[in-house]
Amino acid sequence: MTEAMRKMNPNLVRLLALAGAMVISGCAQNTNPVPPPGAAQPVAMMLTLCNSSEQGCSDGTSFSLGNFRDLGIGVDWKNVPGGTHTQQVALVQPNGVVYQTVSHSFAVPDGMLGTPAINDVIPVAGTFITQRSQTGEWTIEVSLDGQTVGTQKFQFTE
Amino acid sequence: MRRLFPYLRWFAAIFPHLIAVFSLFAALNSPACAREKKTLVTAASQKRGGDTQLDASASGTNFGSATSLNVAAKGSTGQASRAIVQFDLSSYPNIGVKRADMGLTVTSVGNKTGSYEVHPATNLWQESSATWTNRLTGTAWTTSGADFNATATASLTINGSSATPATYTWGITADVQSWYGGAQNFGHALLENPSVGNDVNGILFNSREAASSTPTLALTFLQQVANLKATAGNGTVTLTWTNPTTISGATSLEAYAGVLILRQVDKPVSATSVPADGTTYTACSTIGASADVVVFVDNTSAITFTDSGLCGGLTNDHAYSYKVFAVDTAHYYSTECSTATSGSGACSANGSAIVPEVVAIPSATASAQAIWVFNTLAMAASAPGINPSTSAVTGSNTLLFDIDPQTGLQIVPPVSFGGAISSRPTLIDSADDSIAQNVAYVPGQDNFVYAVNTDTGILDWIVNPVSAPFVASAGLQAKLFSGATYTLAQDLVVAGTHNGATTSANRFVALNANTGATAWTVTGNSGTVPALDIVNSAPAIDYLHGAIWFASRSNAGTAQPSLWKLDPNAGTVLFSAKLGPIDYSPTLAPLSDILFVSVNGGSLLAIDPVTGTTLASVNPGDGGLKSSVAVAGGSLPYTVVFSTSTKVWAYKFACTPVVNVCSTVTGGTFTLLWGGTAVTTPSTPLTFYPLTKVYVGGGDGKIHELDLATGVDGKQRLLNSSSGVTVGDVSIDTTLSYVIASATDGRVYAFTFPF
Repeated sequence: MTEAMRKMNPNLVRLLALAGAMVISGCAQNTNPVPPPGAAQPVAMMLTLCNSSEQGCSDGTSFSLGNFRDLGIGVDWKNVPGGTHTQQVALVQPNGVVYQTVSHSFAVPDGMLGTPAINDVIPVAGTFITQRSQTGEWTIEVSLDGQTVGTQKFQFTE
Repeated sequence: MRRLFPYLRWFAAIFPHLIAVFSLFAALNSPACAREKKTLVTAASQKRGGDTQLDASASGTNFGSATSLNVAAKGSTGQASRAIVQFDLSSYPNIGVKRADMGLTVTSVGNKTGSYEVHPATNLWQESSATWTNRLTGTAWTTSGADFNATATASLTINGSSATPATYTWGITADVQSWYGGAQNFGHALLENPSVGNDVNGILFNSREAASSTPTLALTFLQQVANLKATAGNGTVTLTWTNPTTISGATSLEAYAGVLILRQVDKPVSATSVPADGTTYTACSTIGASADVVVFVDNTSAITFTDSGLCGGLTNDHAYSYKVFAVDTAHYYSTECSTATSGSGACSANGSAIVPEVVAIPSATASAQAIWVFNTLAMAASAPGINPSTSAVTGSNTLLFDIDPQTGLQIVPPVSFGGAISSRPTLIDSADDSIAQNVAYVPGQDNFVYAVNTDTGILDWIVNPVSAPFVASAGLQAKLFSGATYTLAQDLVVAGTHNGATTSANRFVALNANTGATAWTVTGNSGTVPALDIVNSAPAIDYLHGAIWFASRSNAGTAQPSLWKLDPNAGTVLFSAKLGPIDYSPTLAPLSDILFVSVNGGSLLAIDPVTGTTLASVNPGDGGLKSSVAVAGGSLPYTVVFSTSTKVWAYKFACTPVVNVCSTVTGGTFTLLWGGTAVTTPSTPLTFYPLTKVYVGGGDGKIHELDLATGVDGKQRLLNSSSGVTVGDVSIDTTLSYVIASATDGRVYAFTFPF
């Protein structure tokens, strides 16, 4: 290998690796995903669940279906990098099947670390949950831009 | 330059070899991607999807009918312009996508090089109303300029000196696969990355209204098998199906070879158990974490298979689930995946969700197989609305599924809504409605009411009438069935809001069923209208008396009304009653002479629909009423069937002293016929004249068939015996004689009745 080839080799390796990846993936595509903006500090969030009709919507982990109306879900974010983001909250049944999701897009100015607070309400009273007494351990999963950030379990009781 | 020269010389020397290497990779790569390739070309005449430009310098202007799409990070006015594009996939509901490329034709480039990115849009929009500020009329984007994923699916560099016209292609395979795997499809936003380029002129792309070279989507895919049926025998299950043939106008890349069949017992085949493209399998091997068994591998285009225990004997009275994958000669499978584990096109959790599946229960005495099973992509599904032999429509999270009840296959791909659907869609046949279409009316939790053509999946209209969410189904007052007292010119869609933030100011809403225009609204605690709490059930349409009956909650007591009688022409409250909270739909008897009302955890009431007087009540115990009422019999005395927490009951209601003449003075009586028949957390029972059976969904994963005369739970159909699977409210296709029900395993099941 000549000196010139040695110096060119890293690029060649990259090119061949790219070509190889195209083959491994099964279908070559003109894709070039853009990574999300880098964050100096890790993204963090705090999740709050409550009976949304209660005054103050105090955090809880067990709710009686008898007098429950709607599930309030509060997500407080920290260190969200600049750009447009999508938060998804998934309500997962005790059998592990997703019951419902709620998505929100939000924007953080470029160069900033955002601290958005996003509140959602999922109806419970009068839905399948109360009419068929879907008690047990449910799960809330929170994701940001398709990546799961956190989960929290809670109980629906009679 | 001298220092670069050796490299250039070396590069020149190896360049032909590099080209050869890339050509080899391309040759290895492209021909084997899948079996059929079809390019969808947008046109001004298409009904679903669309494209438009979003221009910050004209933030309130809609460009939906423009022939071009201007995209610039910072246009001539210093403000951005973006495009948003959605393709019409309605002709391809049952395919496993292997590759998808979006093509746009540039007719004018700017003066700089820019990076042009496509991002999946994340919110519902309409071509005719979307602007930089709004996604729908009167509804803003969360972030002006479109809501979309922060991460670009693909990007392309377009040089400011490039020749035009020229077509550029973005690979969007993973996005299209995700749409077929259960993600919402709102198309893509196209924008110039401001950190890469800042072209003041931007680029002009042709829109679908252009005279030629409109946006395209090239799809490479395998179709699914059709007409999958299972017939259970004594220790055997026989499957039959129809193999796909190439879609008209598509390019055939390989021939279909046959099928691969996976089996699981007592639970469905996992959506994550997916045969890997390019891999051959042997019978009795397993796939996936749940060890689904490969019971049949065929490359002879077989159309039947009998499972008699080759890979382990079948045990009678257990539910066997089968999933049938089409496979081509290069061993590509009809999944939404290119590989089983990693890389572009890797399987998601829903990798084989729409692959046809079926359930059968071998038995020594009788067959008990489902006619078909439809997977709503692993989300809990609402009770299906039925247009007999035409459509079975169910909502699952934010998607509306439109199933052909004869085959169990999708009529069109799922329709993406902006919010969750929790209620049974209200369907009407084209012969009966004032818009002459097969339509599903669906109120959503995102405050919108949707009208969907169930033949095409086109959203006829979307409206946000009162900015409050809906949980319950809509009612439909059909002009055709209404008497002379109904003075409106079209059908009427009526619904009540579930705004949990108020116990008094909820609303009833009536919409022109043809256009979505608001006909009237009624607001609680407004004028002479009493306080109105949340509405959780569909209204009853009283054609005989010219009224609409709503039920509501009542702020946890009896201090405010929970039963409402409205005039359909103007919404005037004709009557209201303080009966305690009601989550269940009021039910009119066939002759509209009695209205039956279930009070939450309380009594069943028989009410005179003329005066509103309560004629009789009954509470059988077991926690009180937990369902609406099904009414059997064509005239008084009626048999009424309902559920409590753990049982199903039947009572006879008659008037006194003459059984078929009700007087508000003498009232009526409920007499126990049978009950309670134990069913785990029973659904609302279903029966009607002249059925002699009652169908109830159970918390045990079964549909129970009770004898109407005796209440005996004589036969059941097992949908899913996994722990925690609950069967929802059942529906009936009276033309096909199918009982159709959704379950919390995310599937819709159809069985013939009687069992």
